[in-house]
Amino acid sequence: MTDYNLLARVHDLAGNTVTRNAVVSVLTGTVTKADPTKLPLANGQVRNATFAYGRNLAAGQTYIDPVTGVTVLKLTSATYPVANTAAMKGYATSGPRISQPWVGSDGHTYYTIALDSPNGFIDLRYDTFASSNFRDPGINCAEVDMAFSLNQATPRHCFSFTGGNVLRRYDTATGNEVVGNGFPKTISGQSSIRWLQTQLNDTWIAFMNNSNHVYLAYKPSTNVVRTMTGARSGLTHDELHLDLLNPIVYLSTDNEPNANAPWNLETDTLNKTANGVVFQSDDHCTPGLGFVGGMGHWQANGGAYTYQGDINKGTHIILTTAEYHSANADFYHNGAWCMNTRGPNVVDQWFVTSREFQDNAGTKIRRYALAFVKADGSQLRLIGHHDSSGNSGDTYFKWSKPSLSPDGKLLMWTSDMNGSNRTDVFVAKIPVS
Amino acid sequence: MLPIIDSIQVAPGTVSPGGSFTVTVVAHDPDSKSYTLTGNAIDSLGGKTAFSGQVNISDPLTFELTDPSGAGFVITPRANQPGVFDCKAP
Repeated sequence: MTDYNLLARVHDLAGNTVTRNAVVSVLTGTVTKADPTKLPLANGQVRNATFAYGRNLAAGQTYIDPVTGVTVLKLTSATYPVANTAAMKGYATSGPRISQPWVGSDGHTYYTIALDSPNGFIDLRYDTFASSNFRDPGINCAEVDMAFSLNQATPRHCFSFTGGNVLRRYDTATGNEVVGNGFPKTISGQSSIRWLQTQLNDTWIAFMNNSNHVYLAYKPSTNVVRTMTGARSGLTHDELHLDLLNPIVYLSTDNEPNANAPWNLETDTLNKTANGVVFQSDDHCTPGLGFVGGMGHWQANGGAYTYQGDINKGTHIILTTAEYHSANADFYHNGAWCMNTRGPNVVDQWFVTSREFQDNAGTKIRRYALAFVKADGSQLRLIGHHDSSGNSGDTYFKWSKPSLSPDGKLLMWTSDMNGSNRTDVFVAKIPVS
Repeated sequence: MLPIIDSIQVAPGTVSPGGSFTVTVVAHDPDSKSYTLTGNAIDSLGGKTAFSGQVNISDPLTFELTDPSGAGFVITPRANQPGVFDCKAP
């Protein structure tokens, strides 16, 4: 780490000048990036039937995934971070639910993780995988109700709603609200806002009023609020997905052929150009850095796909790779890796997929798998198996629903640990180079 | 008299190479003075209502932030927010 002294000068009209130093510390050494290519290609590997995964571990203990060699931390237990009957991380997309990395006063790199249950924040030291400082400052961290800042200057800030329609910004280090520069913001006419998500620099923040599926977006720098009702779009809204880079919300729909219609927030225009491939019920796709992608829709056949909402041409770009999973495409996705990426273009990006309760022999993604998908569909890399045995019935909260950190170095998921009577949260350390 | 720098905040104080941070400088002019002006509004019947207003007179302050090390920091003054600088480490 190297300390630099920037020089601040203040002058008055008479030319009187006063100076002071502003010290900033810059980390030195090689900057590593998450590198999915160091993981094995996904080629149909199945969960190790004799390995215990994290079932018998205490919170804070780790295991090595027997198929991929990835280190996995069991973050929670029935008694940690506080006594609980079920620990969960929340939904796959929205958020992000893991902060950017930040450097503590001890010089070590930490991430802050938001837990859905027990509600609150916990810090995770990267090198030792030691967690500490769980706190519940009264900020709603439910599964789609908070998002960490993606402004590099504020890695410990987050956003959450109170009262159903007041968007607030908080410092998760202190639990205090941070006011000013567009916050707090009351979203008029709405009362049950959820599905909170942000993008690079927190330029736009998007969310949905849950009671009527009205999609909304707010630009704090200009105080602009955009509104997309179902009547306006002509679509049956299900989820919204805010591009991590571009001012675009992809309208995920419910049994509609016009899936992922891009809504340009700057021009407030919606593009419903026929996309050529019908992915109905595409509600579990993920936004990424310049795209939205998935492994086929939630209920039927399909291959991996990405859509780019081209803000200049207003067209869709579709890349399809078949035979990743055959039928029964019960996937969740997360593409929060938007910082320190492997390259600047869409084809350089990766998103994560999970397969929850169905299986097809002979396909590359089998039940329990967690895998990276390259955004051009050209590669699948296996991270490990989540070991959660939720099925298609009433086990929604047992599904793994994985989420990446904004730098792609951590992956977090929920598991019921092979059908145990509780769920816990696990965190994997992604290989780097 | 010299301007007085009340505080300098660097957030975050530690960044990765290429990382962004914000420097906020708060300062004031000790020569500034505050005056209260008073007046009366009188109608045609002679009714009178007093009013007053306060005015502050001070030099406008100019803020600068530089990188004497030449390490390659990118420093951008934030529009309409004197004393706030968006920075990027080399």
